Amino acid sequence: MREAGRDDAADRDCLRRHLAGDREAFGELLARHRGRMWAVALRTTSNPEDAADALQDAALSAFKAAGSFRQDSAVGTWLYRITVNACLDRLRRQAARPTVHYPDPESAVWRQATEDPTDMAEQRELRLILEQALAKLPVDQRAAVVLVDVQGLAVDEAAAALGVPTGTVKSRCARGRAKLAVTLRELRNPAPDHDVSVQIDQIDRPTAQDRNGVPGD
Amino acid sequence: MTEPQEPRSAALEHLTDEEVSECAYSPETAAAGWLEHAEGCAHCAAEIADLKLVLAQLADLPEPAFPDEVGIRVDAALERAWQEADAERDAAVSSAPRRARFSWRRLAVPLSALALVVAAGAGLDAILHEGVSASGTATSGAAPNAAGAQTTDEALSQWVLSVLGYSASTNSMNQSPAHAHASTLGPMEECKGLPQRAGLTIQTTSVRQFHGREATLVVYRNSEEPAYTTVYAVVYAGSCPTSSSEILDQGPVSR
Repeated sequence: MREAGRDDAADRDCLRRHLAGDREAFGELLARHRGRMWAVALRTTSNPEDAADALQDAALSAFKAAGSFRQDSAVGTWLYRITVNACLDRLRRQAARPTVHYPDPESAVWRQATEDPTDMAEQRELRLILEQALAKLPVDQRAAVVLVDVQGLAVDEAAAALGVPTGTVKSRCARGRAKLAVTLRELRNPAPDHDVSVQIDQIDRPTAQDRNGVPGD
Repeated sequence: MTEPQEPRSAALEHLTDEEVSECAYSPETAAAGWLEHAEGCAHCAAEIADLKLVLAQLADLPEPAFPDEVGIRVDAALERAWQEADAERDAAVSSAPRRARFSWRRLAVPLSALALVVAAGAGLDAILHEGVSASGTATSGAAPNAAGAQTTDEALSQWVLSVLGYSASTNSMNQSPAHAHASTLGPMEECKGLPQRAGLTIQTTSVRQFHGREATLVVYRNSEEPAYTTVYAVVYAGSCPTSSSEILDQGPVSR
């Protein structure tokens, strides 16, 4: 906690220097957070190209909005919020042509995202399937699960990042987790002649409520 | 919504997704009734166990490496943002002098007029210095006639010269000034309250019609000017003027 406080103090110092015209300061701030911003963007959009676009949007938004940063949250939470919003904006613009992207096992980005050098092959496959199941969640549930369960934010931090009440975050997480649990359960007990892609397709389709991002809590 | 503490039958009613989620994610804050139910309900216990596994798997997902090409893209975008910010700042700076020039241009006419007035005043002052007084100005009353010594009204000049004993035709700087001294004050001695002028003394006065009105000429001289070549003349309305009388004409007159 004390380290987090020091990190946030350093983040705030970067923002202050950026606003004072220091050209290196914003790059320093971004370098401290871009790994986590990229993880959030990649898993929220489920697509490396969209994630790169969203991250660029987020970086520019933060660059321009630095002066309006409110001191009531951590800089990291503020950056998460901007990143998630950039992802959601991008996904909503694509709503007219909904395409669910699944992590491609051959993609270098996804290999990096799911591989650990110490992993057994079975573990790597499980992670890829988990990423694919995550990609199938309605975007609002996905963003909540990514922030709370993958990135490890507290519920209230995620609520601040998403700009919704904590109850909404809990509700979205609960529904998203339930769907992921179904997927993993079926993986552990595969039905005869069912391959993974078929199982993924059997995950509950998003409801109209899910697609519109209306919290069901 | 089930009351947290309400006992429930495992066979009749299982925990909801949110209750399972809370028991798996945060058992320390989950309602005791939910946990009690899970202890006696194999179905809900399995749900909670499955969910704990999901949470562990999600938490265990490695952070994806940040791709170099994305870093290059973002850095380039930020560089462009800096350039745009610089351009906006430069535009703001360069527009400031334009606004200043515009303001000065708008002020040019009134400033020029003011300069002319000041110059005219300065010129008159110089004339007065040269022609009437080297030590003081004749400005205790109305402003001196800006026409100056060479342009003083001809009627006034003739009146002054005639009062001082010089005809216009014999106006010469070589005439003896002693003659002019002879008529100091003259017919207005009995008139008290004649307008005084700082640094000047009244040399003579005269009353007559001036441009159709009864008027009094008061001739002032600078006592520090030994040559007495130039006097300052003021024509007041009426026959016994005071400092509040209307001035019909005034100006320096040289012999």
